[in-house]
Amino acid sequence: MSSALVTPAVPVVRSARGRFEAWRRFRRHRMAVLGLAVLATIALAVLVGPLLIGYDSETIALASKNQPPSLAHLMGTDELGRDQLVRVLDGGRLTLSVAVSAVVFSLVVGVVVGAVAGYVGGALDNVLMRVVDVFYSLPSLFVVILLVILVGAGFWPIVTAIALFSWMNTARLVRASYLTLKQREFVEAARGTGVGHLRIAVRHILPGALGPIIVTATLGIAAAILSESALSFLGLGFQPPQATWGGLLYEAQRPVVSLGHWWRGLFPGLMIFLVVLSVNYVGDGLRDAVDPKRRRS
Amino acid sequence: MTDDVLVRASGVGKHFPVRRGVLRRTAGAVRAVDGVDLDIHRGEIVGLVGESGSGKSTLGRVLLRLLEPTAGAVTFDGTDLTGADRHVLRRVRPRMQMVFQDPYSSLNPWMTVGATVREALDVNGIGAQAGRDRRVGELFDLVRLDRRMVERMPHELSGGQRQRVGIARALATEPEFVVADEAIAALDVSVQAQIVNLLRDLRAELGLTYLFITHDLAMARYLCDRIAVLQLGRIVEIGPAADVAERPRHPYTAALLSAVPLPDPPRERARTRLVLSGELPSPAAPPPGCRFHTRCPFATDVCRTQEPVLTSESSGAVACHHHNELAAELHAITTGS
Amino acid sequence: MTPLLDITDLSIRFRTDDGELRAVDGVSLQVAEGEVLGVVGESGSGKSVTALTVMGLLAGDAAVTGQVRYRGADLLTMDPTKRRALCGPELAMVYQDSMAVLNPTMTVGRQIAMVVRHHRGGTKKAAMERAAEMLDLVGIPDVRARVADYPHQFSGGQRQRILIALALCCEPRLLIADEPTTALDVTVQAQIVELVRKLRSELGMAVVWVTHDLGVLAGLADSVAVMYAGRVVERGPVDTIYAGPRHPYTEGLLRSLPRLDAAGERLTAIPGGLPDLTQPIPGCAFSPRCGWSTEHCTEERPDLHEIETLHASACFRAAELPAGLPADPDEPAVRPVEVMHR
Ligand SMILES: Nc1ncnc2c1ncn2[C@@H]1O[C@H](COP(=O)(O)OP(=O)(O)OP(=O)(O)O)[C@@H](O)[C@H]1O
Ligand SMILES: Nc1ncnc2c1ncn2[C@@H]1O[C@H](COP(=O)(O)OP(=O)(O)OP(=O)(O)O)[C@@H](O)[C@H]1O
Ligand code: SF4
Ligand SMILES: [Mg+2]
Ligand SMILES: [Mg+2]
Repeated sequence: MSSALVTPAVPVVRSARGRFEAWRRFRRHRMAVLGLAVLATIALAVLVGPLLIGYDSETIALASKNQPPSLAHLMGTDELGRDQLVRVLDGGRLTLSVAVSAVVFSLVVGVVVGAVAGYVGGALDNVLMRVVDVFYSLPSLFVVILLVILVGAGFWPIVTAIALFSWMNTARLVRASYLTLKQREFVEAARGTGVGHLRIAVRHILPGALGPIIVTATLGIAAAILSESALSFLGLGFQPPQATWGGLLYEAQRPVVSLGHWWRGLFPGLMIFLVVLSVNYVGDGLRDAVDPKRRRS
Repeated sequence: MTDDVLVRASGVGKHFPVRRGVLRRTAGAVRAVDGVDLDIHRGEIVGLVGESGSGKSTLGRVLLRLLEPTAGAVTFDGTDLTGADRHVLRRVRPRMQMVFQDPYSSLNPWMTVGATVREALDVNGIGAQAGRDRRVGELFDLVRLDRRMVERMPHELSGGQRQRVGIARALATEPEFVVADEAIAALDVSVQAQIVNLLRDLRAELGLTYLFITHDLAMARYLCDRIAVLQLGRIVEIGPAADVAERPRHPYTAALLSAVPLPDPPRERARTRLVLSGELPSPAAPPPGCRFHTRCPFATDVCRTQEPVLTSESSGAVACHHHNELAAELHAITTGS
Repeated sequence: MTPLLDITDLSIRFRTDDGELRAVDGVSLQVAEGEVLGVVGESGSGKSVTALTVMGLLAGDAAVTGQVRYRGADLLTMDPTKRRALCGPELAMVYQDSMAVLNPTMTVGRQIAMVVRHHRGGTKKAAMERAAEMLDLVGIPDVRARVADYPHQFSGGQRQRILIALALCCEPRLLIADEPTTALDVTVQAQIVELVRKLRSELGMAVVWVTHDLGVLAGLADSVAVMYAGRVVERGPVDTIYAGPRHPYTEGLLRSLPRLDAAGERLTAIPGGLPDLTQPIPGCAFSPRCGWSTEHCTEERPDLHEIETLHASACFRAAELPAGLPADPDEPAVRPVEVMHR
């Protein structure tokens, strides 16, 4: 027997290799890495920032109202003399928690519905897709308003209300992925070796649907931030003095336009912009990271 | 004799509905497999040859119940697989395996190839947890792949390397029956020879049974005990490998044989062939009479109207109206003179 | 005359966890206008990777060095837009991996029509006509009905023929075919070979035909290049190579073939397998499996050198080869020792 055959026993370290590979592919995207860094910084800032700054976000100090940015107040103050920086950070914590929770919630619903519809197919698929259509056609704002009035405003009602009307895109895209991927021969091959349906759906097909899932998730974050602002705008979101980015932006309308207090609008807007942009880049990077075959272009 | 039949197909048919138009209404059917009777004995290697699209892969899938037949029945080791429920299938699945034709689409692109092979062990609970990685390594050795490749993703392997991963996966469950669908087509000849020798050794040691789907008649002749020739979903000739390859009784078999290219440039260029011309029949609307008559150089009126039945001969069976008169002529064609 | 395709000293390295993998290591190949070059070689020897590099479609983390000149212009440094414009009407490839090319959600007719319209313009209807015509040429039965089918509804061989139709629909000047007929039965294969021959004589199409089917090459190719472990180990006119191979690997390949006219007990496989491409190979990469190997072979790397006009081999003992092989290494190639007991 030739010596080429005598190779040392190599353990099959599964998945660890995959994860490392994915990270390597992710790292190739400079913007994605930068986006991740920005997001991490913002997350850290909204979590611990307010504790480090000497102001409270709700304490009124009329003596120092309407100040432009200065060393004492890096983002200026509002008409009640509250420090904007603290309000932005505080609001960010809430805005981001709402957005992330809503997206996670809608992803879970969307992926499950889409996967079941696409994998099982047939009548169940039809029924589920009709449900999706119904949700698309409902006047979402109206139902959300109804919901918030009935249940009352608060973190979970708002998250639920946002999620309830944002899972349909995910469901459609995931279903489409499942429909095409389940025709592929490797699925048949897995079935032939005795792999059960659940495992096929989760282990074999889901990774292939990750691309669209990530895309909808990135879009979802931006949409959730905007939805939350819209609710605040209608007076159905979180109530003042509780700050959110959407709320801050809403409150800033008049001061910016008629008084020229540009800092009131700039900073919350900038934060939303930064987060949405970063999330998009990170999403791009993730999409490449989960696709082993993607070419660099 | 009957009890050593491992796989039996009786009157098996598989029709795919053809859907047309925006409403995708059913408008006829592709008769991929149409009334096939085939007994495969334990320890036997049956070669299945036939032109592209003749239903070879479909028949293989139906035998393994990867596809449900639309007609007829398949039994495996006495168990009727048609309409068998999940529990029965779960028990039987690991005992019969398939090596898929296309090494590119039959491996999950998101799993390392080692994980793909290991999954076959995991889901069937073969061997102790701890020993499975080692077993995967052994399987890789067996198909002549470097063990370190377990960590690779499919797209990092060449076509032939992937094909061997597919073979390793099929052998992982220690099956009794393997449908090898063009299992060696993607390999270069030296690896082909290694794998074919391996398949033979496995049969000798473990009594494995194969349905060896191929278009390489020389390889079928070499490896198989019997060869079945499929044409438009029907078996048109079956018999001992040497007989089919040397003394074909069906014009279609002779045409196949005369199209086998010879690895000898001057002879290959000078060769006379039985070239098929005429309209390619559609499997959705097979021609009346003999399904080969549109392209058969020997077709007569009876061929155009009456479908020949598979009739047993001394050592095999053939479905041609004129097989008796044609014997000498077909033999001459095969030898290329 | 400058060759149509001129690959010089092409090397392709992949970054892997085990270190750098030299998939292709200093390959030079020339294809003249209207020439059919057959490329054979061990599985994993770098044939597909080379072909993909010519097309600019290599996936993964690869470092490519060397030159690939198409009609004098280096494809590797060419502007990507210009290069893409070449693909189709000038260069076309039949890929080994059918599902990577075919879109599973689009009917095959539309996919071909799209390519036709992209390069040649014209109406949708004309493009569809052309698609049907191409599918007919490659022998898909019942074309009118089947243009509206999706890729997964075709058999393996039919999918391969769809790829061939896709590559040929714009009548390229150079066709690169990566195992285009592996899934095809011999009669269809003969038909495809005939089609390629015809296009070549009518349009002067040049072809690089990657295959391991030595029989097909015998009837089709003008010259043959044999690859092993990322290098070309032998090249020359087809007749010369088949009649008198001057590299032990080529010799072994030709002996591994089963013959219709001879049914032996065992196939004479070349024992062993491809060396580990992540490790440096000091001598001849084939030496561990070679019956002719001497100490010299394990220490120094033989370069491709001409042994007679047009015929080159990368073997130190090329000159001695015609004299016949030394004692037969009569060792079973694969020994199923590791088979578990039930
Ligand atoms: N993306 C990649 N990453 C790492 N290694 C790769 C990658 N692609 C190919 N390889 C390796 O490069 C070598 C050459 O592969 P290639 O696909 O060119 O082989 P081939 O000659 O076409 O073989 P076959 O006849 O089996 O198709 C193989 O050893 C393969 O494992
Ligand atoms: N899912 C499907 N839906 C519709 N038609 C199908 C489907 N699968 C296969 N067919 C058709 O059934 C016929 C037989 O296909 P099959 O894959 O069995 O051929 P094959 O003999 O394996 O050919 P090849 O040698 O090319 O792989 C072909 O005409 C094919 O187009
Ligand atoms: S150089 Fe030596 S080892 Fe390499 S093929 Fe020639 S004889 Fe064999
Ligand atoms: Mg097939
Ligand atoms: Mg290849």
